[in-house]
Amino acid sequence: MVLTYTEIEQQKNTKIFIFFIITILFYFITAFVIATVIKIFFVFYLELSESSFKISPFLSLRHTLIIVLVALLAGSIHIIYSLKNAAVLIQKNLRTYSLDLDDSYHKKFKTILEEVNVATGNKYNIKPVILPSASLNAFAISGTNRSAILGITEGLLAKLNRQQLQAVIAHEVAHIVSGDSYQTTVGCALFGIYASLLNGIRSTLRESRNVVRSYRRGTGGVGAALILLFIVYITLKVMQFFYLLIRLFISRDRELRADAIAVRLTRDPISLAEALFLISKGWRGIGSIDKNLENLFIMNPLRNACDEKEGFWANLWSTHPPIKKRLKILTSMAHINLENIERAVKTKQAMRERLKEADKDRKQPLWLIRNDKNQWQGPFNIEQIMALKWVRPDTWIKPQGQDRICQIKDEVLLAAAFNAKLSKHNTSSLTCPICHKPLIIEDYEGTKIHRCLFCKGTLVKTNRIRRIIAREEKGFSEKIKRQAEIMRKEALIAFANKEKSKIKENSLINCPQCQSQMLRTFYSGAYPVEIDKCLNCDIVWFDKDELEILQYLIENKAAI
Amino acid sequence: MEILWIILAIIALTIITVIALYNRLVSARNQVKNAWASIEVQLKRRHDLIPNLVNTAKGYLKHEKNVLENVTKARQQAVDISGVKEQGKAESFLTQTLRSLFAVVENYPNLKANQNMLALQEQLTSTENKIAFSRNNYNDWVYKFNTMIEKFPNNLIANTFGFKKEDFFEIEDSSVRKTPEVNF
Repeated sequence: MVLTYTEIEQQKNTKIFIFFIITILFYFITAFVIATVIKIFFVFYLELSESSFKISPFLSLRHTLIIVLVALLAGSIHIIYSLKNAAVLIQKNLRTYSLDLDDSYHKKFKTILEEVNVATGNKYNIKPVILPSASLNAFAISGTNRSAILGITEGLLAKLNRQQLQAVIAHEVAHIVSGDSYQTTVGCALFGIYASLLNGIRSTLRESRNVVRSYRRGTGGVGAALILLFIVYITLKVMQFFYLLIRLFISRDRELRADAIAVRLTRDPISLAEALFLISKGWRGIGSIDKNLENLFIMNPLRNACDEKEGFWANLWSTHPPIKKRLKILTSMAHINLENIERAVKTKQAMRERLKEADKDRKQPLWLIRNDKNQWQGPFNIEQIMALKWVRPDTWIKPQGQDRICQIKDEVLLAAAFNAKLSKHNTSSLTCPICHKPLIIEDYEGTKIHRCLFCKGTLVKTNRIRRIIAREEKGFSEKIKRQAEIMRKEALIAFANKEKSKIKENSLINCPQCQSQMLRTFYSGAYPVEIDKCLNCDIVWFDKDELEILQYLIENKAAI
Repeated sequence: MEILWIILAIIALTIITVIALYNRLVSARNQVKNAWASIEVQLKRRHDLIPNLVNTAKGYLKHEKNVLENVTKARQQAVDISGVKEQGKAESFLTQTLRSLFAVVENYPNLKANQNMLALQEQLTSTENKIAFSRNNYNDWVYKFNTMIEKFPNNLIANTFGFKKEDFFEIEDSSVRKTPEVNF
């Protein structure tokens, strides 16, 4: 990266100074308005009682000076606080997660970031985080002391290949090293996150109307609280206006610059163009991402009409350049045109092979097995025998349909499987809630899940379900597809008859982790797959095939 | 009297300009050195990984001794050598021998599935990516520095104070031109 640290510092300082001025202005205007209102109120009050015009309703010079001092003090405190805590504040606002290093996708993200960071000379300490959303987006925030945070949504992590992910990460790293991420971060921390509180208050006010009606004759406590809330609302509204002012100083061209630096870092404009194309076509995620923090992201989460326009006013108000322009610059770097990118993305998607689902009901050799109490159990297949905790190489077994008895170490297939088991240690400490046999830890769509090899049910942590759904690595067998279609049709019929889909309350199961009873419910109203949930441990149990059915329904957007 | 002042002013101005230009060249050269140092860190990491890799593979590849010997030799060469251009050549050779090693490993499923081997292979790939990135960074700085000292009037100062052009760090990617050699 050919940009020296002093150059970056200078650029930064001018912008931060502008932000400082705007903040002071905000405090001055707010304080001035409040003081004037209070004074006018008192003047009229006195006027009514004494009926004289001795006091003017406007503020004197001395009072204005005091207000200026107060504004300076409050503004300085605000800006120093924001500068110090910008990164933490925004991270809290976005509700990011730290990486789960057992997860292969998260691990890939970490390695790519480490690799890209080398190109900057490791000047910055960049922490990778995850935004738990299925949308496609990425962001960067910078703190003081050259620390920074780079976040990617689960959806983007799942949808992009390694080169594309590298390009996106390089783009965000470019924001960090060129220093403009610090400006946007401070801008957002100064006003953006407060403006985002507005949404919450607006809905509270809306709900409170009914409350007021019913409490009108009651105590004044609720009313006073509402007036307070209203004042806060007005203040925040003013804040939002000032945030718009700050955004005028955040140029949309910094995205183009970051694209250019990213290409310089990776020497790969095509992958970046492909990634941008995919993001622009996909869902960028409003809802989980607050619209007031939009300029932190690689592409605007709002499909803002202003962003796609050019010209003076569009340049002033927008936060991101038109996607067409970005793609045009990148494709001209690689001497290809947009159609090539479009075609490449499509063929890559089509080429992407799904993992074939192992046929669970395939005929396998079975054995009877003798336990500690000299009882014969089974018949079990290889995997099931390996899942049993008490199995030892000298345990006696009897192949089904044959008249001989031998030890596990003498049966070639089982002996090999036993050796493999010893080197893997994949038996979990949890037991299946239905058949009470140990669960096996398994890699599934890049993350870890617990599976019972006897009833084929799966135990999944709640926050991993979204990842599993986003990744779409796995193919589905005809059986799953059929089952899913039947389930959907039944739910549709029930919905048409205005029946409430009923949950079978019989045979409720206990959580394998905390042993309390699990809650039986539907995954969601739109996808009525029955699940058992433990609210204490944030864990979900799927019966056989139910996880796959859920995945299939969501992937094919087959909601009811 | 006035002429004297003017001459003095011109001399002062020239000295200041020379100092400023000289300082810029020095800081650019230091940036190049710094970028090279970060490449060396990654190269060292790569060289440290290879003995582990060879040791892991040794047990399985009893009939492929010369492949392993080639890798060890190439590594030693790369460790001993100094100078940007020479280092680039040595690294290219090392990459080539590693590639033929991995081609051989493909034929040994047990070795391929070895956890240690997989981890080492992953680390090696990651290190090679890091080398590629730091190489880009280094070459950017070299490009900037070389253009700087060729430009007028920098070239006058560069010649007087002995600033020399720096070499680009290039690793030839032999895979594009040649299929890896496999000895059976």
